[in-house]
Amino acid sequence: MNKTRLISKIIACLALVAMVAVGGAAILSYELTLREKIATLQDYVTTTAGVISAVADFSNAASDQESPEAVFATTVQQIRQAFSSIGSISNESEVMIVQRDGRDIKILVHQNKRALNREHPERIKDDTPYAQPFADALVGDSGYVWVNDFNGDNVLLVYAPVPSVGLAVVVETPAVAIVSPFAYSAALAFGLALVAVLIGALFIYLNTGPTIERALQAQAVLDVALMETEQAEERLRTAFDSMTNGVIFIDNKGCVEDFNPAAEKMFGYSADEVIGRNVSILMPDEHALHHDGYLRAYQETGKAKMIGIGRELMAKRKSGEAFPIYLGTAEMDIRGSKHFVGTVTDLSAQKSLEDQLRRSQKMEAVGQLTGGIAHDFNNLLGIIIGNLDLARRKLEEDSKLYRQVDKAITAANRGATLTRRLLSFSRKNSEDLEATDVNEVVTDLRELISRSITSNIEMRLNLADGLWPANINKGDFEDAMINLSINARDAMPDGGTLTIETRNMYVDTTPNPAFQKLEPGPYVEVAVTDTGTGMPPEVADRIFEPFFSTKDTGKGTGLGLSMVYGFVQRCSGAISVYSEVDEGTAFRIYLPRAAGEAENDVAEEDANQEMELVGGSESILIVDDEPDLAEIAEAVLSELGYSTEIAYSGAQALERFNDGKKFDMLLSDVIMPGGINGFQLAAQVVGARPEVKVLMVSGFTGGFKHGAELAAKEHPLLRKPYNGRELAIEVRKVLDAMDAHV
Amino acid sequence: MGRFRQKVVLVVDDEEDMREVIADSLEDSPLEIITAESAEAGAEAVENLVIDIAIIDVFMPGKGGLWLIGELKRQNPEAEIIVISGGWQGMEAGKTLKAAEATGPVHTLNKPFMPTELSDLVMGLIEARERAIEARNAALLAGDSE
Repeated sequence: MNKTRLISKIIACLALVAMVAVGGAAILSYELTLREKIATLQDYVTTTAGVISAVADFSNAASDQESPEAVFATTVQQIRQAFSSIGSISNESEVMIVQRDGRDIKILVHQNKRALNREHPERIKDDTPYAQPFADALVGDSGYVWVNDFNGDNVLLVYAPVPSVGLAVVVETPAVAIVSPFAYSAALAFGLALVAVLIGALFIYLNTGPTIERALQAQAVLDVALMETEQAEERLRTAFDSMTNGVIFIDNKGCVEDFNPAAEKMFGYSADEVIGRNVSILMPDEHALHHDGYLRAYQETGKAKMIGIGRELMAKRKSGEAFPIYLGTAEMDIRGSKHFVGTVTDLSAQKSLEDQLRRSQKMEAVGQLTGGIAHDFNNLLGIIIGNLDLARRKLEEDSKLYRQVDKAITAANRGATLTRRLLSFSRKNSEDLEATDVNEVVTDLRELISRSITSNIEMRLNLADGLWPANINKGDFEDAMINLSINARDAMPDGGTLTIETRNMYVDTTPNPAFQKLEPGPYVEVAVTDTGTGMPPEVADRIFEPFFSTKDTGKGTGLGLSMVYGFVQRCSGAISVYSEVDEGTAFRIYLPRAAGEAENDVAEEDANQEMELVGGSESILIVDDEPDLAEIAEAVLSELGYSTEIAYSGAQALERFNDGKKFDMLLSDVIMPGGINGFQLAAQVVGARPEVKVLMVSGFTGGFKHGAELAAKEHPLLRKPYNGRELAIEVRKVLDAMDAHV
Repeated sequence: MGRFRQKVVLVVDDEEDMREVIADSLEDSPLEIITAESAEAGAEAVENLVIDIAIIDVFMPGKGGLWLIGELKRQNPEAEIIVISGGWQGMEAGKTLKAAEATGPVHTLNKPFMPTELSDLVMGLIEARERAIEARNAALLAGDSE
């Protein structure tokens, strides 16, 4: 608002007030004066009528011998004289004494005839409205009336009868004469009021101008400041919402005040679920118990354990899963009350990478160490065996000494076998890699493997057609298959199913722990799955280390899987282990596809890999207890346009469905802790909502325990690990399938 | 065998016990065994003697077995070479073997080995050699007679 407008407003306001006041006063005084004027005129006509009547009576009495006409004439004469000698009632009014004359009304006496500056007719026709009051007065009425005269001008007629002589007194006053003084004084009053208003406005302006100026400036400054504040607020809010780090605000009692989307994603809670609750729900129980104490102690003593210092610690997701985070905290003093802000970085991916690196470095180091030891051992064993053999030659074959030396040689040879295995783990490159038909090798080994497993174990082969040749050392691969089979046998003391599967596999750039550091490209996957006892993660982590064994002392060398590991490394492949306690274990070996003859196929396949993937807009609920895997799936699917949500357990997934969320598809892991496995989840979801499509995902595809075999046939099953492409294709296929559950 | 000169076997290993085991393995044979404790000492023997068979450990301090194999192939291309090793360790071993093979065919024997394995291999090579010489001589004689 600028100054001129403000002043104009003030003036308009004052003027309005003045006009209303002046106008009101004018109207009021006009009404009062008019009423007084009419009263005066009425008095006048009545008095005049009385006087005329008296004069007539007197004339009548004084000359009773005269004719009434003469008396009347005398009376009129006397009145005329009286009127000419006395002054008019006012300059604007005409006074008339009238008499009926046939159909007309005749003016006998007309005082101040020229007052109105017009020619007044001496006779008034009785048939006009103007004549009406004259006529009324002549029949004895008195009063006043506003009427248009013969010229059409508005006039006030005040009249009274003189009944005794058949006359009437009428005073005619034009409206203009009555109104104009008021119009004048009203105009004057308005003029004065206007001047007063202008003076007032000037006065106000002079006195308040600088203040207004200052106020206006202040207002402008405020406007800018407000806009800037809004912008800053918006900037901060956007930053808060789009940060990749979790950001959590808490008050001095530990109550969550704000929770950004990154934190929502990380912890699995929505902001609404967390805000207002104590931040300790985000911590594993052992920390949660102490958190309030930390906060109180800090506020009382000022001794910081956390505040202003970042550190690594464990946090808890909504699913209950603990995960490592880096937490930076800062204290904020906002208008005297303490608040804290925490920035949270999820370290689980980094930790798992670190673990992976540490593991591979460890394996490398162990490899070098064992390689060195094996080399020295072989030298020593060479001398021992050589000398023993030479000595044995000199002995009688049936002597006790011969037998003793023989035993020593046997033992030394066992030592030599061990070192050979060690070397096969640490040997870095194989000199004789060749294109090998993995299916053929497995088929040839079938007999040997089934002889080395116990009779209560069923062996299944599930070999893919059109399997690519793998670039491997055949002998090493045979050893690896036998080692893995023996391992599976030992994991199933009570029997079970051993499955060997092969398939072609394209490793893409989708990050996946199972593929480790594999170069993207075509691989042959060989999976050896058992339905045995499984292993906890800490065992699975160390399974490939030389001499690591869970078997009873003396039963295993702890080198079997190390040899497999060494073999896989030598042919630039990878091996992964997926195990669930009481469910079983799956080893997957990725062997690089051999180029060469199949080069055309390779080119074709590469072209296939380049082909555009078909996405969609359906909503998919991803259920996996492994956050890494759930996030991989989410990343792949949301890039293709699907709307995705993650649940970390079967129970959580059901909750989402019960919340009334509409999902088109359930993409669920099979084996999950927490009471509801993937098959049970799928059964419940499909039971309630038959329209929901289901795709199960599992690291086990060979055989399921606990009657899950049947359940597994109900829904399509995608085997883990999958690449982004496989996931995309399979999801599309399931979504497009007609009546999937019939 | 008497028709041929005594064959010379060179044993090169930095480990004395190993040299002895190898020598002892061949003690019953009519071969002259010469031992050397390093590649350099082995090279000296190669210069002064006609070596029929060289049994060489590849991993030795100093210039190493590979270098000696090269020297031997250069001076006496006909010599048979048996490479022994306690294991092909790491990349280097693979390369070493490839390099050795590049100079001509070599026989390999991994430690630990039974003395019999060694003596069988050595005697087999000697016999093959003698048969080759006999065949050559026969061919020469046949040529003369024409």
